[in-house]
Amino acid sequence: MDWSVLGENAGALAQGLLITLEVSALALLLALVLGVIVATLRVAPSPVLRRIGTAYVEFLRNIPLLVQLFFLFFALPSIGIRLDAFVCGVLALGVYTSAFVAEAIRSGIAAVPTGQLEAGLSSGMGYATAMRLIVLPQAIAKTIPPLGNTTLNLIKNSSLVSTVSVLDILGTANLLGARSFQYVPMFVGAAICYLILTLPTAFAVNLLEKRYAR
Amino acid sequence: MTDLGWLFNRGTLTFLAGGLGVTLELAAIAIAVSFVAGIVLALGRLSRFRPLSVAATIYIEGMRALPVLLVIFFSYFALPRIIGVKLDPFAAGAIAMSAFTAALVAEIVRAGILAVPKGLVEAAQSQGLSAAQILRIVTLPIAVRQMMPALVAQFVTLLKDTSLTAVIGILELTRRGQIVFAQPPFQPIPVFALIALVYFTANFGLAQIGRRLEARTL
Repeated sequence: MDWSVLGENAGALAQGLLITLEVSALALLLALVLGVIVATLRVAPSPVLRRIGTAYVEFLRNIPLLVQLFFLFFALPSIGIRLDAFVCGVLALGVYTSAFVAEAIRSGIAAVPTGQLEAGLSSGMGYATAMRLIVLPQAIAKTIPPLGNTTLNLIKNSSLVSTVSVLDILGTANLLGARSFQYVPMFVGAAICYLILTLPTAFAVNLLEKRYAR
Repeated sequence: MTDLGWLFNRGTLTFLAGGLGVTLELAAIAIAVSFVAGIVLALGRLSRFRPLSVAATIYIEGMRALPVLLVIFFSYFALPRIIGVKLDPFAAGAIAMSAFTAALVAEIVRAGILAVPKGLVEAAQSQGLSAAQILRIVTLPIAVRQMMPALVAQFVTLLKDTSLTAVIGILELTRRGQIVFAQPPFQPIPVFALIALVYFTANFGLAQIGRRLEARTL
């Protein structure tokens, strides 16, 4: 084992780390936007809308992310839609994660006792005001820990973009490992890069969890 | 509509069903190994013997902070260089899935054990049961029942994650799907629709079992 390849390729790994961050940040943004929309569907008064929301969540959650990513990358070109690998990665990751975001938000809203809303209404508030001042602040507090975990999973899942040739952390480590035959140092380097991203996130999630517990 | 005879014929469907078999086999091995290893790791983390609890904590937290795909690549490309034994893709995949899932199972088991009321353990102690007996008769049975829903959810994740072993060449469902659409008439969409349906059915079914268990424990 020749650990010097790690030093020689530190720059390339750092580049990969930036790509991982970029993919994760864009996918998270997409997941939050879609997730909020779908969560609204899931708690909508109309049963049809609720069913659409449920179907969306169950469909995405129960099919492997890799299959969804490969669908965008390998299957869409057969009907004339050719997307860049990076775009496929962000789309697949964002849409997949949106199902988990929607569930986190839905369970947060459901966890606020209906008495809270009723108390607001009976003290003369309108529905919107009671929702904004009483229900949503409590729902958000309950949503933050699961959303933190979802974000953590998103960062780890972003490594799948390496399978469609995006040079993120794992893609870079794989390429350089194959080139130098020094897989052990390169994967250890990749692991360190992921820990740099995930450990502080996990720490922050734990802090928030403690702060918002109960 | 186009004719789907190229997909829905005996040869192709048998080939894909074989892939599902490999997927389930891999998942079953990983479930069995990670369940046992997860209990051992959880007990290690809860142990009063400091070096053991530190080692178990580092393993669990380290694994949980890494992408499973990295663990799979490591197991296939790097592990053989460390242990000096060549691993075929299936063995490497099974090791990676088991080692990774064990860390997640360990946390579920630990939460389950911590949720067992202290009074029950104290009652058993006052009856003169040994620590090993208490663990076997009192703590673990109650803990296992409490952690069933979380365990099943974890195994749904595991079943989905086995698709990742396609990238090291295990001929499981996703990989075989790729092989099918790489041949004439080169139509990926029906192939993806079919394998997505298979994964959905397996995972949704597993999740329903989990929900039933949840209803029973509450």
